[in-house]
Amino acid sequence: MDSPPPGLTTLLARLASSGTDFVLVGAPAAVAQGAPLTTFDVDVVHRRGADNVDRLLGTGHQLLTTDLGPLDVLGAIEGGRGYDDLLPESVVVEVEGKRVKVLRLRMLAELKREAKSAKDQLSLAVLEETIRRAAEE
Amino acid sequence: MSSSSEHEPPSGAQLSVTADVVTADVTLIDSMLALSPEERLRQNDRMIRTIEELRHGFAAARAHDTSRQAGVERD
Repeated sequence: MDSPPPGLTTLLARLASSGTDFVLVGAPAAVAQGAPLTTFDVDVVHRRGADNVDRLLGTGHQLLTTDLGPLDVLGAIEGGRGYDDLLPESVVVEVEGKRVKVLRLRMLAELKREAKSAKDQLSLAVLEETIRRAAEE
Repeated sequence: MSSSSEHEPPSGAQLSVTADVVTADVTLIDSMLALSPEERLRQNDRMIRTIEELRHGFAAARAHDTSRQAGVERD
């Protein structure tokens, strides 16, 4: 059987295999946990520290273009939540044999509740229904 | 007779109210939940490729229409 063409999934696996500490957030985190959304980039919050990616990227927000798709590297998300804040709210999933920390659906929904845009409210409806259906399984 | 406001796009507040009554497609959610995390992400990759192909197709069709229109105007 042909292997699937490389895309955001492979980008995520390669990032995980690089040894960089990060938590997957945003729409790709929701997709990985079953929310039927479509996302065009990989959003991660990285661990700030001298031995991590800060030396390469700085501590702010960086949008990188890769041959596998856009990679959005964040120092923190809403409410100033950084890697250490998000880690206890994460679950581990396996992607191409690599362990990837993913922000829990409940936390993703909580962040959407804080956001007020119509787009966020639409995503919130999908996240809440996904949480309900997953709990019923 | 309708008022002009009926033809204006809804404000952000109106959109938020609309979002409150949006329901998600349960069948779609269940089919996603049946997959592994990696399979869900690959599904997203396939969706991106499909959307890009559609965008490319629309752009090509638009360019074709524009050039045909220009040809008609020259005749």
